[in-house]
Amino acid sequence: MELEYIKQILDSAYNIRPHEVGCDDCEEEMNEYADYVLEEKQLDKPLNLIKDHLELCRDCSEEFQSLLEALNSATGKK
Amino acid sequence: MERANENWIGSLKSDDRLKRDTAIADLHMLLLRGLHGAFKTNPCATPTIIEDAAQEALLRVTANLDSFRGESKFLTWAMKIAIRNVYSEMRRTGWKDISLDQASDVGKPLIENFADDSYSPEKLSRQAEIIEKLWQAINESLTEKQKTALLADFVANMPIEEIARKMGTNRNAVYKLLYDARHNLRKHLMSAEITFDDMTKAFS
Repeated sequence: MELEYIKQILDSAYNIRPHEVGCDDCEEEMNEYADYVLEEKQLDKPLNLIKDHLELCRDCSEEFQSLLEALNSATGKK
Repeated sequence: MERANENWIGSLKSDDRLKRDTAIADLHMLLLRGLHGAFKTNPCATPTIIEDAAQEALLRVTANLDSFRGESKFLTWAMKIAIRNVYSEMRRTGWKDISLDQASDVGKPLIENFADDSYSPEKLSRQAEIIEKLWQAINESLTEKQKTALLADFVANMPIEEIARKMGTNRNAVYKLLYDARHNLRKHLMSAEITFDDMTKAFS
């Protein structure tokens, strides 16, 4: 178990990106990205930085996954 | 039938009370259905937390209709707000009795005394060397605040939102604090000639 903590710290340090967006930007764009993921909606702008942030931030990532599940449940897709 | 964005906005802004109330009831029902579905296996998301989150989202959405930019579906935007409410309350409740110092203290012995006898002696020796450098990097290249946030986040798994609440700041500022910490760690480890390949080989 301890090994996982150590690996995560090392991974996050070595995989740092020159430009990372913060949680505010991610929250702002999360709904647009969720539509894109669920419906392959055409994007007007690149959301790669949001995708990167979701891989790096546990808080935003769990909110995003729950958003996808909630939308599927609300619309009867799951 | 699914409402289009214009229908939601028009109905929720309508002077026709019946039309407006029907849209509010529809949105409330969809938010509740969504939240119940998303958190059905999470015992921390109590029925009260879910109902309050949906209600608060409804109030916030109807009070801020003009801030909806139309870049996503209206329901997606409203649901995002409701989801954030649920997490915010679960995190606050779950971590209310644990201080930042307690959370970061959990991490220190775990990193300092790491040992796993499922690895060969050679690999364990290399791991110990890297862990020693990592611990040195944590102690020498990070500020106290960065160190506390890093250990609370990565080792104690305290949510960034809670770290921010306890530090009296916001999530964005904590993410930036952690970004700077990761940057400093990388720089320190690289100068100690520990490369990404070394790390991958030692911990694979």
